[in-house]
Amino acid sequence: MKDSKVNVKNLSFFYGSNQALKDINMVILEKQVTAFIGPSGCGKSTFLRTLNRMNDLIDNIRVEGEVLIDDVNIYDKNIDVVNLRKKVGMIFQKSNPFAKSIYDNIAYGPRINGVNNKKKLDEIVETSLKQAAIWEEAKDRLHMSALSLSGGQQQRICIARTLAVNPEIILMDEPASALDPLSTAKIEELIHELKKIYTIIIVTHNMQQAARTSDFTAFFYLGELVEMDKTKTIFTNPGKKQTEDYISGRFG
Amino acid sequence: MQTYFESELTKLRKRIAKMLNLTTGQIDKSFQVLLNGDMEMISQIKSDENKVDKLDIKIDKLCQRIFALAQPVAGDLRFIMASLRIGTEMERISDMAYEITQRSESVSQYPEILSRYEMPGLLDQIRKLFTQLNEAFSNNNSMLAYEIIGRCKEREEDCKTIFRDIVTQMTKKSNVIVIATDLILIIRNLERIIGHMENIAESVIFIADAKIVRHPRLGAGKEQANQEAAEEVKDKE
Repeated sequence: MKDSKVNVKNLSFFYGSNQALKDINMVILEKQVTAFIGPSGCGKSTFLRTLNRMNDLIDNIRVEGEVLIDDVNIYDKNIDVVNLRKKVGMIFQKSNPFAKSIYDNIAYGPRINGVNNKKKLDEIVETSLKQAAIWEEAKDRLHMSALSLSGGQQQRICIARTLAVNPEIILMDEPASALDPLSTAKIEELIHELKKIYTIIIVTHNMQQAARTSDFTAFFYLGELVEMDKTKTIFTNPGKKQTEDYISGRFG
Repeated sequence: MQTYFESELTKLRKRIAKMLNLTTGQIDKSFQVLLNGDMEMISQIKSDENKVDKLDIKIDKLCQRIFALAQPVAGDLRFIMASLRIGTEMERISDMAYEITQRSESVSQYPEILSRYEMPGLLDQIRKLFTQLNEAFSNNNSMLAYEIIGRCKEREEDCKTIFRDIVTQMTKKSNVIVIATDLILIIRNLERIIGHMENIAESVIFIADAKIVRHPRLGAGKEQANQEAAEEVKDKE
């Protein structure tokens, strides 16, 4: 068995008086891909954002319970949120490269963290772009604007930017939903490669994508974790009827 | 209102049910040919065989369409996989029902021989098994499917016993060789029909319980457990 990387205990989340997550308990294993599925508004993206405290940026929210990453509760008062987000990187639905060169996009994080040595930065940029499977396409235009790339390429630049600060966990919120099938396939292939080094958690509305890319799948409904199991079990013989109805397109 | 996907699944279920009904009818008629010499039934059996063949192709095409367009999962996926298998099994049963009639003309003239080998009782039990198979499929009843498999195995043993008895008779009396050969071929077909019924019952269990119960001799369950254990080891590495 793999070691547990994230251990969520009795997590509830409130937007004002509205409870978006209800007493979630979950163990996420290291260097595995875990997919969150469920209909819109079920709480899966909210839950994803609790794992690197992105929800802190929203007013009037409340969190109960614990999220332990490597046995440390990330909601403890003495937690440095900037360091947390370095450790737990995030990729969004819409690629959001900075209006800077490809090189500067990737070097941005390391520079903020005090890396100024040109040779070291070159090394990080090359390694990150290679890990994100975009080096071959980008190596001859590192100083061109990242915005000149296609949507699929921009998303891989964003992945490279996340990798450049050396995270341990990568959260992906529908990373391929705005991409064409070929770019989607590249992202999925990349996820498969990245899981050798990183723990990956992906929110997706695409059932086949969850089935293809993940080792574990968690189904959320109305703020509750209905079922979590090995992906092969969820998609061949789920334990709960609600899960089966959702994955077979009967509701949601 | 049913979704497009659900209406396709309903269509598939209806086609399988229709095929089961047709083959059950064919078996019934072929037994009447064998027991009563109702030779006029043969043309009906042949015509039903054509219908079964057409349904077999229609089921294949429908399953192919569902796989391509709907990417079925879980219970739906198992149902469609099993439907393909059940379609093939029934197509073979249909062929054998016709084969039996082709060997029945001489045998049916000697009801005392059929009685001697307790054939009427055996045929009646096979008929009952078909009715139960219909019921098991219609209600996703895996318990009944397990019972059917058990009874099929008993009937297969009956066939083997009859086969040995006939061979013994053939060695003793050369004048029975012609009729005994027909009877042996009929018994062989019955044995195969029972085997196909067993396969259909296994498919019902696969649909209902997600369990693969075929080839127990090979220890499929054990193999699965070994595979999972190997995966765990790989995970650790």
